[in-house]
Amino acid sequence: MEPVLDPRFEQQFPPLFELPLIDGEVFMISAAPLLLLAVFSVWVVFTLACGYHWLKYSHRSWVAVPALGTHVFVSGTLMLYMLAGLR
Amino acid sequence: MEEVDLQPGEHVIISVRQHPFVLALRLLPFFALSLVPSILFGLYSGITAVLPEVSAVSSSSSAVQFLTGAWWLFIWMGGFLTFTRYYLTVWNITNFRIVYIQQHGLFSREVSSFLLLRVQDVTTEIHGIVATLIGYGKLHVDTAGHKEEFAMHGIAHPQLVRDIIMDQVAVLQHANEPDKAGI
Repeated sequence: MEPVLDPRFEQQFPPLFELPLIDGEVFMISAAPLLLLAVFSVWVVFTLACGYHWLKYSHRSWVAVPALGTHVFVSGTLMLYMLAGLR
Repeated sequence: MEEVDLQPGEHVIISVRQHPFVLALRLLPFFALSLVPSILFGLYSGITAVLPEVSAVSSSSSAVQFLTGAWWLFIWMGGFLTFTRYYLTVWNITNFRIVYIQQHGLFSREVSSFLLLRVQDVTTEIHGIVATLIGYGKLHVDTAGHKEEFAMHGIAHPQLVRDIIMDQVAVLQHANEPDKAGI
């Protein structure tokens, strides 16, 4: 006897990757939050590590703060671009 | 220098990094990789133009935009890490010693220090047209009783740095001569 899947469950937990990937909208709705969380987590760890190194080891160089500011600005812009794809 | 405490009367004469051209060369692969999505999309558009039965993907598709943004973000992070390594790798030449700080990567750092009085030989190497025109090369310092090689590749204006080191070595040796005469 085949198990019957409750349609409400299916609605609440859609499959992560629905093929074909060509259909971008289906792909985005299902996988984007997880991908976004993964990318954001990596970015946060990387930015914290870089900030630590710049602030501790740049020997009070004037370059440290502009460099970190540029990193946050550019990567923030790229993440906004990614998020715009989720609209 | 927070990592290395300066002795009384010691001050940093010059801090030397690799030439910005070396940084530009290292960033070049990241620039090339950032073009990959545009190239792939151009190729795909070409294929769909020839073979209409292949499904077309719009560049404004949410999946394409999301993945392209993620690709560019990781490339930016790689490039920023390269710049961080470049900037935090430095030779600090003081009036007593040379402090060589190497940033290999995040949480990977090496700090070497040797007295200028132990310097036996300073060699500069400049190979190639570009290096000669732009002014970067290798600086190699031999020290007495030290088997480890102190060398920095792609350093900016190596002759100038060599002259500064040798001048300072001469000053220190001259300052030590009265002591030797007293002995």
